[in-house]
Amino acid sequence: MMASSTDSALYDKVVRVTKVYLGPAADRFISRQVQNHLHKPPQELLTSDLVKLIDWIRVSVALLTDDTDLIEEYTARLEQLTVSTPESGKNGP
Amino acid sequence: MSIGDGVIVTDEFGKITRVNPQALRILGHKEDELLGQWFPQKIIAVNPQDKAIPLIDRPMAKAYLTGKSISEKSYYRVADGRVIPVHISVSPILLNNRPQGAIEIFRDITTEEGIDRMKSEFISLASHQLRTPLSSIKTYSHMLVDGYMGDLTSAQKKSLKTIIFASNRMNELISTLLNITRIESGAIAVSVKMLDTKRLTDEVLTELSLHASDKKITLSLRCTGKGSTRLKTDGLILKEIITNLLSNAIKYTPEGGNVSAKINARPNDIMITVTDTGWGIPKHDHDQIFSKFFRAPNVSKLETTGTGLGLYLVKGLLEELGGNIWFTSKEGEGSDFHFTLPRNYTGPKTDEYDPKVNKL
Repeated sequence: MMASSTDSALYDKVVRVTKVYLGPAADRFISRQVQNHLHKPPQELLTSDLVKLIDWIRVSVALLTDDTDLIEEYTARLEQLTVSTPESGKNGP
Repeated sequence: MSIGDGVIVTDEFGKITRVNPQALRILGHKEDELLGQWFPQKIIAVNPQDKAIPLIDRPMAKAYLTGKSISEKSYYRVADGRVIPVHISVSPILLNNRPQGAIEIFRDITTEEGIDRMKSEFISLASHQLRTPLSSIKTYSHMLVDGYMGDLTSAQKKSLKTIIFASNRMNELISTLLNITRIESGAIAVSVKMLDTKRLTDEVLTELSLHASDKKITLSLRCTGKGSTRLKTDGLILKEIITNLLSNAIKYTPEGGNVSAKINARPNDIMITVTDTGWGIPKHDHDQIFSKFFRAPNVSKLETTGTGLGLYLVKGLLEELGGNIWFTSKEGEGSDFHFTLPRNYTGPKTDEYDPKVNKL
């Protein structure tokens, strides 16, 4: 079934990936990015939103670490979520 | 941007890609020491005590988080180890709405800071020096009025009362100047204690009742809301705020009007509203009402004793207490000034104890 506008599953996936790089700060980091750039509750993150958000996440993380390979790896994993998680909501893969 | 501004451009990985000669001069670096380097590692932002500012709190991080330009004062530790105050403006660089890096423009404000500090020190010193002779004038005037130095004629008593009134007014002005100096220099001390806002407001109303009755103005106080009117805050600062708002309301209300205070005890904060039936504030002046030295033209023609510092001071003091202030007003009908105070206020966000701080 195609999802409605909410997609907390995607947000959870993004936080899970981010935790690998930012540890316990992941949830707050992503939540702030969603709220500031998309002006919506984090739980309503959509795949199309994530595509736009990745660029902001990249530049923000680049101020936390100078390891460009790590940044590339992290953003590549986020980009992967936009492919593997279409606008499919809670019933998605 | 003037020729005195330093400019640094970073790419999407926070690496410095451009730096102008003025930036190199301010920071004391050579171009090859900065180009290609990671911005947070080479451009060290610190607080005035030379402690590193967390990366997330730096203007560039804020600009990325909000997607907007950020301007603020900060401090940079330069190549020779000195800490200098800088004014920074950072904007994300966008290409097709996608962030590609950032541009930071900054200026060394050491000279401006020095001048500002000297100005504040001068006002503080001058104010203290003015208070001493004023105190003698008031004491002896009171002794004369009270007959300690022999009987006076009614004309002499009247003149002395005018002297006392003028001395009190000057004392208030000096207090206002001192408080503004303290707020602007960040040297105001906040001492948080549990207090009853109803009792405090009542106390201020009593103190101002004589002034109000001279103008036949009715004063009133009421409480709404289901919560307690008690909260933790600084009593002296709060009293200054309430006194300023109520005396303003009395001052700018014509004879026979009404001035009221309402305390709305809400779950997370307390909202206090001061309402008057005065001359009100013209709509086109609303934006400027909390500006320093601003006086609305409609009242400055009628009331000549104001300085335009009261509301500027109130706003500054409320910020010290973690509160907010706003108003609604219509010319010819009166004004409502509302302010909130948080219930869980624990004190201002200061990192370090400063022995130079003064109490109100």
